[in-house]
Amino acid sequence: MTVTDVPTGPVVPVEPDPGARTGRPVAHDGPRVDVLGVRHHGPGSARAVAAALDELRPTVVLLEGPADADPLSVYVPGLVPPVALLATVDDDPAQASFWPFASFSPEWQALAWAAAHDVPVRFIDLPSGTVAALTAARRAAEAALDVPADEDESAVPGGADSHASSVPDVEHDVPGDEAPDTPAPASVREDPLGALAAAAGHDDAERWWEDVVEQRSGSLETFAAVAEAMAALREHAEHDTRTPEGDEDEELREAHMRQQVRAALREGHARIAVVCGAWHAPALTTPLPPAAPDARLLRGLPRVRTTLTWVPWTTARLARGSGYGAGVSAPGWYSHLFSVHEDVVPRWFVGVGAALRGRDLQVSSAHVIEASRLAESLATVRGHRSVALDDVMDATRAALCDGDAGLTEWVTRELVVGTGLGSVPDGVPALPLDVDLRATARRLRLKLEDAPRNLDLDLRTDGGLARSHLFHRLTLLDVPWATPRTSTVRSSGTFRESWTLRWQPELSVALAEAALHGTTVVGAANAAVRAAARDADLPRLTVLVEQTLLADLPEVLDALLGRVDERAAHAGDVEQLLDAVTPIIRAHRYSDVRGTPVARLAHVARTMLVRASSGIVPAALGRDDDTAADLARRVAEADAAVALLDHDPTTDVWVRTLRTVAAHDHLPGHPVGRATRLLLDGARITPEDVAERLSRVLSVGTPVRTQAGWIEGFLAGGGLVVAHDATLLGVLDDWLATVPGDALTDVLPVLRRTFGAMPAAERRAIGDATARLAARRGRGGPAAPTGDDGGLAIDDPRIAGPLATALLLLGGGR
Amino acid sequence: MTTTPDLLRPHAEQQFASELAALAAQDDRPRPPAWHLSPQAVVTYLMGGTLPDGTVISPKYVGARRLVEVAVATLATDRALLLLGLPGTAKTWVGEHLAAAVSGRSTLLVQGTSGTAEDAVRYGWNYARLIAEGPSEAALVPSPVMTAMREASVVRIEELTRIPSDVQDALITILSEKTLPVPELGTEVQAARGFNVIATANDRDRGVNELSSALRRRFNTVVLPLPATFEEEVEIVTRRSAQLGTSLDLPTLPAGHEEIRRVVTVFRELRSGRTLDGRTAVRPPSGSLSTAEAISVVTNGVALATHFGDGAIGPDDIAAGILGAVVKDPAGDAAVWSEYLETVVREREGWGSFYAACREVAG
Ligand SMILES: Nc1ncnc2c1ncn2[C@@H]1O[C@H](COP(=O)(O)OP(=O)(O)O)[C@@H](O)[C@H]1O
Ligand SMILES: [Mg+2]
Repeated sequence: MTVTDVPTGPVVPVEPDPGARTGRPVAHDGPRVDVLGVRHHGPGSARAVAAALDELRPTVVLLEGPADADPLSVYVPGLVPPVALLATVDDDPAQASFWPFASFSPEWQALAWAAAHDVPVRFIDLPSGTVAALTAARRAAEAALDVPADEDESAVPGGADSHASSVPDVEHDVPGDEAPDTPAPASVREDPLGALAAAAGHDDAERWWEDVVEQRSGSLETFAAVAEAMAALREHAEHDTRTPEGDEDEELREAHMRQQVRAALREGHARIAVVCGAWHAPALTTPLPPAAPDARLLRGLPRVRTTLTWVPWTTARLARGSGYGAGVSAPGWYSHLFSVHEDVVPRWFVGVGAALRGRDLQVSSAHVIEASRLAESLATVRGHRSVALDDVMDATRAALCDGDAGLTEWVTRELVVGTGLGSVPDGVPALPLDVDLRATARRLRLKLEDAPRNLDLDLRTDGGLARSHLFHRLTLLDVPWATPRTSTVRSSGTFRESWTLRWQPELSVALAEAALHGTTVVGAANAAVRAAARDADLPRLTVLVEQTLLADLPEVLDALLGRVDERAAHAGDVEQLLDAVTPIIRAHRYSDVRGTPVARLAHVARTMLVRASSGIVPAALGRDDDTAADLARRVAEADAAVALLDHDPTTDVWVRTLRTVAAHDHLPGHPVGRATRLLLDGARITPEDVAERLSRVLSVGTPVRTQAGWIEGFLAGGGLVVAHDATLLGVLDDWLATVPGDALTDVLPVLRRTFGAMPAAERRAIGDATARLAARRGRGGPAAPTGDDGGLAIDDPRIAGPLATALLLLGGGR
Repeated sequence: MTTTPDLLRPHAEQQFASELAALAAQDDRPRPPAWHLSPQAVVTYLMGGTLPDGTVISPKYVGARRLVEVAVATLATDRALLLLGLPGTAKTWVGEHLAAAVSGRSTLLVQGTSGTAEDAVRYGWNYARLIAEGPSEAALVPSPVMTAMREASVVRIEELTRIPSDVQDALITILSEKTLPVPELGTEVQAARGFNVIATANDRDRGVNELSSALRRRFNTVVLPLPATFEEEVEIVTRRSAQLGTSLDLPTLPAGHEEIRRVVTVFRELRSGRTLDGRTAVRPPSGSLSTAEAISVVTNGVALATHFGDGAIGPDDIAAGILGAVVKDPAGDAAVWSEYLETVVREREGWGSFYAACREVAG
């Protein structure tokens, strides 16, 4: 801290100063510089910073953060955290960095203090444009050397220990779809205070901070102690080769920060407060080393143009450990630790109790007390000095949630992470993407409003089509302003689309993330598709093709189809191919309907169909009943799509395959039955033909299970066919009469499933037909299977068997 | 470990007397009133560890330490503990060891059934005396609960949900007021500090005699899960069958023995409805196939091999046991088992003789 110093370290060679021991600044007449080394997003640090600033009353506050963000500090009074500073590179929006701020972030407290006291704030880290340029240069160098870029290190241009996070490679990290995940243990540089806590055996760094650090009498002494500990850590890291090589920009960054401190001194500020990551504290502590080496180091640094602004943020995003999350796993808990000073644990449980009562659960104050007692008791059993988050959560589950895991998870989501959403005032520079979206919306006469509104689009009108494109593009960008009311995929052959529009506040955050893809809606959507396609498997790719068509993004479609073709060539899995065929054919159809035929699409659809065709028979051989049934279902789905191809010559290949399957003697029954049915429905074979095949399959020699599978596969296409065709029904009936008793029990479940799946009307029709058949063949018994079990009392055992079965199958459901 | 050789099934405090004594001797942390050990030492007793003097404490519960910590911390706050879980997840086992470690005895026990009457929870009368002498202290027959209240001990209530609700209600007063009035004598028994209740209840019993919310509120609840991983379950079965075997003078199997792994494989696959590699779906049978049953299949297998076989446990020693555990309902389960044998066991490498043994016992 301050003018005084820490024990000599190789990094900052300074004289030991008596002040270091007392923790008090040495009184002298010159300007005073206090360095407040913090834990990024640490509520304990945040509180200490607020207290220290109140005590110091600095004339300027210097803050670790991009130097080019200075003009944005004027907006602080209107911001509601969580918010983030977002810097995007003008020529490459994907190169972006975020600096998230929560109310409990020390950096935010410093900003808020300065705003409240009308004291200027300077961000003193390297400007965002320089950081981006350095990162780009490094990646280029790595690419040239063909060294695979180490994601973790190069991913954070702000520096490993900066509180910035960034997404230089959004392609691997499509915004919005990952759940809050547990942050990996931070390195010494990233979270030196956490590392110290861990070394002392504490898994909860914030509680450690309270236990150890804040028990000192004042916040200034706290920061002195932090600086001291950091000097020792840095010295250690310097000598310890195992410590991961820190961030390559560290030297530059610290030189830049020192220069900024010097500049503030030159301006004549009497009291300067520097708020930075604890790791840097020793490097910024006065007396500073000579300026010349720093100036030399910084001369001629590259810089690209960037745009900076404030964007709203959410607590859930703060909780994310990857991408641009802050890796704060428990923002809600941290916020509580920050704002509550006494009875931290009981008050927390009061909040949990209230939330649970909101879900109509009985939670009395006695409960809340018991939960607190359990948490305290757990802390004792576990040897924690004070109650830590895991004690709190375990107590929540045992005492408040009746042991229920799901309810406990809900508490985690609602309270431990929290549902906070920040906001930025009007007038804050808008992101280019935001500007473009609003302009587009205005042009299409759409309003971004919170009240939900339904909209039906007629795609034959220019306006309808343009709106549809916009909505689909935003869907690809994960900005779900418009959500389809009916499945757009299903209706892709029609001219109507129904949407519900609702601009919820969270969408501003989603839009900020989407801004990483580009500066215009079209550009960003193109980039998003390209990014999503990179690691996508075949099914995902085909979905993308459809979405891209709907979004009218011809620019990427070609590349996308190239990938589909390539993936299809390598797909070893017929299932994947079959699943892919349907959406591609549908897309092909659709592009025709909308008057934008894509030649390549037809080509891809055809080759895929051919590939899938050739794989079906080998794939079906030797399957068990269940997986064979599954394959049959996919074949049927693909067949429905093939029908859309009309008279395309490729359909011949498909039909030939179906014929091969239907005639195959060694395949499981299910696909054979299903293929036969598909051929019949397509009028490729006659009913007589089918009856012949059926009686062949049902003759002795074929295993009963195969027979049952055949029937199930055949009837999966609907049961009425047997009600209307007496020949088929007769064959079936004869078979049932001759299946031996023990084999019958074996296939009964399958048959039950087959008939049970049919609608009641179908079953009734088959029942009536069976009764007619029985009457015609001169068998007695009831005229119709009324469900009256009296029908079972027939004497002739040869008839009683099948009839009973038929009744069981047909009447069972009524 | 001191075992009491004459007892078929010694109580935890008997079987592990020397571990408990060593823990007590070296326990320098504060103990809640009437506790025999500090809470930390109770956790060590359940989870295992090595004491400063080198005494090895065997793990009793194999699973997440935090669950045991929550259970012990609950008892340390005088709050009643409810252990909830599927059958065979060690609820009774954990309850018994907790009672043994906290109070030095696990024998104060109410076994819950639909026939459990109020006098099992409160008190009854010696009618001969009652008639001869009128209501008196001497004619009163205390329940285990009353004894625990007087003697500052933990009492266990097994299968709480099977107890009729009016009897459950009697517990509410005891747990909330910590007193048991005896209106016939115009007196009451007040619980001494150290009194507490550990109850167990079966997850599958939901809806049988659902705990009233008033009673439920008197408990902190810890859910004991099925073993999370294959290896964890193998460890439980190895350890427990060894312990059980020792008391029956049976040889112990080395950790991770092939037959143990086989039993655990079969149980986990049938329980979860899919093979361990996730490739093949299998139909689960009606029974719960608990770890406890796996333990008894292995223990019986060792006994079979020792007394009737060549001493080394093999597939034929476990086949019958597995069949018995799987086929609970002859109608459906037999088909399930045969399907599993045909589709999974038959093809599995190294399982040929097991397949043959199973086919033989299935007849
Ligand atoms: N996680 C486990 N750790 C140790 N033993 C276990 C575990 N799970 C099951 N067991 C063993 O299973 C057997 C039966 O457990 P038990 O307590 O009777 O089950 P529950 O009361 O839950 O039905 C006991 O011998 C116990 O040791
Ligand atoms: Mg039990």
